[in-house]
Amino acid sequence: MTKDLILALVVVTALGFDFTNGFHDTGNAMATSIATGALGPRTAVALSGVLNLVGAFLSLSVAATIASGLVQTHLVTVTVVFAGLAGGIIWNLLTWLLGIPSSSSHALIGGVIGATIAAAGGHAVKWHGLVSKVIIPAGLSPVIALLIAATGTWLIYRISRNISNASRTHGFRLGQIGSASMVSLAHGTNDAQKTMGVITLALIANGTLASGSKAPFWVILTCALAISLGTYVGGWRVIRTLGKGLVEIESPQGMAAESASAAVILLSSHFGYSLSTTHVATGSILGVGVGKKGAEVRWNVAGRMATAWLFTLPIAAVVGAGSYGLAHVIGGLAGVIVDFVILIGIAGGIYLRSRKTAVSAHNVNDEWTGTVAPSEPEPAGV
Amino acid sequence: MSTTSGPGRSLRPSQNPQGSDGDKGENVNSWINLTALWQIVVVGLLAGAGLPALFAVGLRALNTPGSRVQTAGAGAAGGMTGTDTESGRVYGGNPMGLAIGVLCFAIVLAAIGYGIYLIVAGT
Repeated sequence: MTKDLILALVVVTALGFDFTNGFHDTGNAMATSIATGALGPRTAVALSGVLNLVGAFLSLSVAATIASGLVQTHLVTVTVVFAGLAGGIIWNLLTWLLGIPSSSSHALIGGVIGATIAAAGGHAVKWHGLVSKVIIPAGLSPVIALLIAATGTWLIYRISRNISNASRTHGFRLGQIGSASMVSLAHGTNDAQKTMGVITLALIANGTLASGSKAPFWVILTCALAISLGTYVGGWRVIRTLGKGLVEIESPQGMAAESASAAVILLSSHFGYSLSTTHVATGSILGVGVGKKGAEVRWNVAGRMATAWLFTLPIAAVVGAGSYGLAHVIGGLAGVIVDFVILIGIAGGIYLRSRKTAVSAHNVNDEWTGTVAPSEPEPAGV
Repeated sequence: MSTTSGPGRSLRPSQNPQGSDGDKGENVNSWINLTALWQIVVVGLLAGAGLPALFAVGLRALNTPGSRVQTAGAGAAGGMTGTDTESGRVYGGNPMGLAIGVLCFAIVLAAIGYGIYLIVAGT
């Protein structure tokens, strides 16, 4: 009974994480389309939400992949999974508040690793796997995406330089919508699976499923819905930073960025790397700034992001470890419930704080003035 | 040998980490899969930069100079309305450009279709 209640809390928390993953990452696919006006903000998030839903169902070979290869899975308990998720959620919400695109995958991995260390010690972590599967790809992927996007942008502008502005904008807006849709689809396939894997891991740790089982259908369905709903809600703060903060984007650049992102994400998952969509998308957007003559790239904004990326794993790990420690000291169901209440409290606090400088569909495209929220005081919208 | 298939499995794991290409530089490969890396870069450039470039070629072909109203298009750049007349003019103006354009877009669409196929089948 107690075990089942803890498990239920873990599943709810995992779906909550999946939701934050969705709205944190809407911008990866749609920020450029929203910034260039290829799609209205509301249309863009709706389209991305639907494609994430479809993407989550496209590939059903789901296993507990997120943790295997990174930690000794037999040492992972349900409480460890819970604490790891708490670390991931808090990091996601904090970075969202600051409008910093950061990797939800890293937040989750960091949280789970921190909780595992707190529970079983450092030997429970497969450090080699962590470096070769997570850290090195994370360092390389934005650079590769930047290179591809810059090349694409340069080629596009060169080839299309004789076309009238109106035809060019119109044509590339269509191309932008197509390529952004591919990124949304790939995101649904990659990221929804991560949460499916985590819930499956918890079910296995609880003894509900046999070791090595695949995700049951209800897990796939609820995860798909959670990430899709999160995407639809739209992380406007992150969308704004990606679409307006880094580079002023025109539609040809938008298409170049999303094509580069889609190519890198799909190719990498083909080779078994589950990259951070966020790192790739940011690299691509910087690339289209580098590739177009005279475009202004705000490297200070990019630097702020890169700093956040460096801290994602450690801070999520510290929160995950702390969360495990607290649950462990109190013990049993009560410990997890206390954690859960604190998590809800922090999440609520961050949400209320975000209302003071709300960013939403109506002001997401306002002129970039160096801050996440547009500087002019806005009556809080929805 | 064949009779010890059960315990034999425990003798084999040395084969597993090698994978399909264990010949070269195992030390480096254990940290970075260089084979995957260069393929991601090269194929990524072809798909991620090449396809948008091809799309641009298609757009340019559809807008090939030679149609006399072309310059008026630049004048009307401010307004996004009238795309129908605009494209009608272009199609009428240059059938060769139309053919090249359609071919380019067809290749781009086929590549997207292949990408979706990879998502569905490749995992």
